[in-house]
Amino acid sequence: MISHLRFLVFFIIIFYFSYRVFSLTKDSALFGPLRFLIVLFISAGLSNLAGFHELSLFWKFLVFSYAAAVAVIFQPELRRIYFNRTYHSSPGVGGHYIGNEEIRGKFIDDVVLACQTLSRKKIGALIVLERKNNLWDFIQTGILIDALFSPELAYSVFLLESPLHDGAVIVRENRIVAAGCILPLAERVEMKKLVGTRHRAAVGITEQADGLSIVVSEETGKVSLAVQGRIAWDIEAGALKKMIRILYREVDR
Amino acid sequence: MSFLRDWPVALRKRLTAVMRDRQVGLYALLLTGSLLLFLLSEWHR
Repeated sequence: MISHLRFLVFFIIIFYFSYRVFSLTKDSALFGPLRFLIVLFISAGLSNLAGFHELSLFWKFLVFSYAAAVAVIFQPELRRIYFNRTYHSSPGVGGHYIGNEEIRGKFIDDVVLACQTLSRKKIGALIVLERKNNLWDFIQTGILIDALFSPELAYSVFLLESPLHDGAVIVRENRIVAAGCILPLAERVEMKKLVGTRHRAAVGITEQADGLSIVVSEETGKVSLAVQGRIAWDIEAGALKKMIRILYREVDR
Repeated sequence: MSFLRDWPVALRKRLTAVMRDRQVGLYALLLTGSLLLFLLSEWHR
């Protein structure tokens, strides 16, 4: 009886961990290689049961080296999953926000106006608004600016002649901290198929941190907004303003 | 002792979530089964 109970507890623990691993890696390229572990374990178990004990060492070696190879090859995926877990599990906003309602409203109006102008002229742009997670790692990859956000400044940064146009502008509170920043690209397969690098970068940063990214397409002039690894395509100015108002604010902690 | 009172509800919710995501549940079950097969065959050698 006790051994049955022990087996059941053992089963539940292993099942729980397997379930967590598969649900975390469900949308990633790791899902396939992990499934291959099942084949390896079944083969190892069957060869043990059939009495090929000499093969045991070989199976163990194969399982461990396979696991190590997967960890090395899929290191970016693992890193993304780790960041998703640590950042996205705390959805609160509030590290950086503008306390004063009036200044916040003016800032959001400015962002929307900048996007409208860039969209009308079909100038590609990528603006990231920092929230709780510090984006210093990405800020360092660009040129530090530290200037109050204004539609004119944003417009001049993204002008094709500007040396800073090919990268992201990162905004903290209502100041442009840096421009020309290099962001990680989205890993999801459907993103790779569908869109260009700018949109993939916009989604990529939101997969790793909780900031908002606003993209203006160079080809169509359409404005999209990405948050937490998802993107809303082709947003009208009014809707964009409403979404930023909801997402970029202080919440009770 | 809300845990003692609420655990059946919590368990049912968790099981419903597992059932909803059948593909993940199925692979988790297969991995568990194969791992157990491997470990038990090692221990009973």
